[in-house]
Amino acid sequence: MKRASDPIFWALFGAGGMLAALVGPVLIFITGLAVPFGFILPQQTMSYGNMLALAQNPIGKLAILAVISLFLFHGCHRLFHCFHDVGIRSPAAGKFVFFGFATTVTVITAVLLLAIGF
Amino acid sequence: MSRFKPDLKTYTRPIPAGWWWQTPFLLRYMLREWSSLFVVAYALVLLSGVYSLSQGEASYDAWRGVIASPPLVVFHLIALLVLVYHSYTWFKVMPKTTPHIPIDPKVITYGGIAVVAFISVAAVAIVYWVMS
Amino acid sequence: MPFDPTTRTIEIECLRFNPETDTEPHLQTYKVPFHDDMSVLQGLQYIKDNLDGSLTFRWSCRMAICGSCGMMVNGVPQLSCHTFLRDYFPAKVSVAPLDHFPIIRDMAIDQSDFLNKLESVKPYIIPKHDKPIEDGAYRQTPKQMDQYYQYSQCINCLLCYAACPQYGLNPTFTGPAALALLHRYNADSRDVGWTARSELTNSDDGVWHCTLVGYCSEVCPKEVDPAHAINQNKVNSTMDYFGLLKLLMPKGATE
Repeated sequence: MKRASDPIFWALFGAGGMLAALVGPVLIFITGLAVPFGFILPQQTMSYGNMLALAQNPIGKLAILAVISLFLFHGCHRLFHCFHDVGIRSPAAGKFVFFGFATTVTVITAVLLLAIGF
Repeated sequence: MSRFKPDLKTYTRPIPAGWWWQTPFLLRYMLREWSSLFVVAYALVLLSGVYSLSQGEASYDAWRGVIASPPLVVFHLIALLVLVYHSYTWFKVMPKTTPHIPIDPKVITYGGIAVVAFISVAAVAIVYWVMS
Repeated sequence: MPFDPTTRTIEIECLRFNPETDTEPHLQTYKVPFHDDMSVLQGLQYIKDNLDGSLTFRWSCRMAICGSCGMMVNGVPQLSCHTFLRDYFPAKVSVAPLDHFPIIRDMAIDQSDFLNKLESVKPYIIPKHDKPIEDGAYRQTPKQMDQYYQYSQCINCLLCYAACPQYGLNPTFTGPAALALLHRYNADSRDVGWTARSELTNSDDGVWHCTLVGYCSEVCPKEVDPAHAINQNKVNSTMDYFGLLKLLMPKGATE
């Protein structure tokens, strides 16, 4: 019986799901609804200067990478199973497409964050 | 072949394509699972922000303009509702993933939701304080 | 059985299939007089005794402990002895054999796949050492027993298999009841069989086929909570994958 490769992806799914559950709503509120309209928080919050400083900070980089990457791994794992549930399934191809996408996005994010410098 | 298999010819019913919307419980399961679409979508929106940031101030300011546009506002409103549903369902199923401990599942669920509420309020408060 | 004039009548629609004459199932509706204390099973028994002796269904204890009378009642997996006609009246009650199993005849399903799955989980104590009778009984604290007791309550009624869409989509999945039983033995302090069972547990047909739909635990008449049994083992399986299982298991729990 073949050993499932799921544990690694499941662990990433779990980490991403927990992160999304804890900070997802407030991040969406701040970045997508409050700051763009100066509601509660000033529009200045996400000024170019502030965001550049955040992205140039090593901890800021890690935070941004963690959010984007883990959200992707969470979503891709779940969507892979969603497609299986509605009848679209091909285990090998599916894993390659979904986790390949998540990995690609992670790499792109890391490269961009490094390009932004310190 | 199983030694338990009966000799009679049996009839196999294929699972219907609509298996998930015919029962409320299973429909809620599907909604919970597909909520991950918005988790991915929001992460990609953040990625677009990181990209625009990397291309300089003009590109970043253009991105800010797009974020404030009506379609993106609608997206963020929907995403907020969906991610709140994600948080709720995440902590609702969490008791099923813990070891067998003598804690009421409701404690885990409501505790988790309370933590989310606390983090959300604290995050806004901290950003507000830092910006003032 | 005498019925007084205040008896009401309910329609019970049954899925019929006779392997000797039918190529496909069809529906047949019966008008059944009932009292408020009558279960769906008693409704079927009335049909068989008075209206149509060919109606075929399994039953035994009439009190939700034998696990024989599982059926789909209005699309929900139920024990027919545990479901009451009064709760559906005046609407029609639809009775069909349990989903996700082949039909032998009418409500009787082919359980052979489940019996195979039961065998595959090694549902017996695998002790560290052979313990002769002279050495006396195993000793177990209430806390140790609590770790597995609820998972030992399964009556093999198969409602959870009818509920589980993953089993419905792919019957190679070991399934809720069998995996709950697997956990029942792994969690027993007298057992060291995690490794012996791990090839199945860690495989694609073991715990990893489950997507925590949770409907199995919802329909279980004995509150076994198979969803919990399976999903707490995803952590164990992951730790096993990284060779870290000893960190989680109590000392001597696995070899």
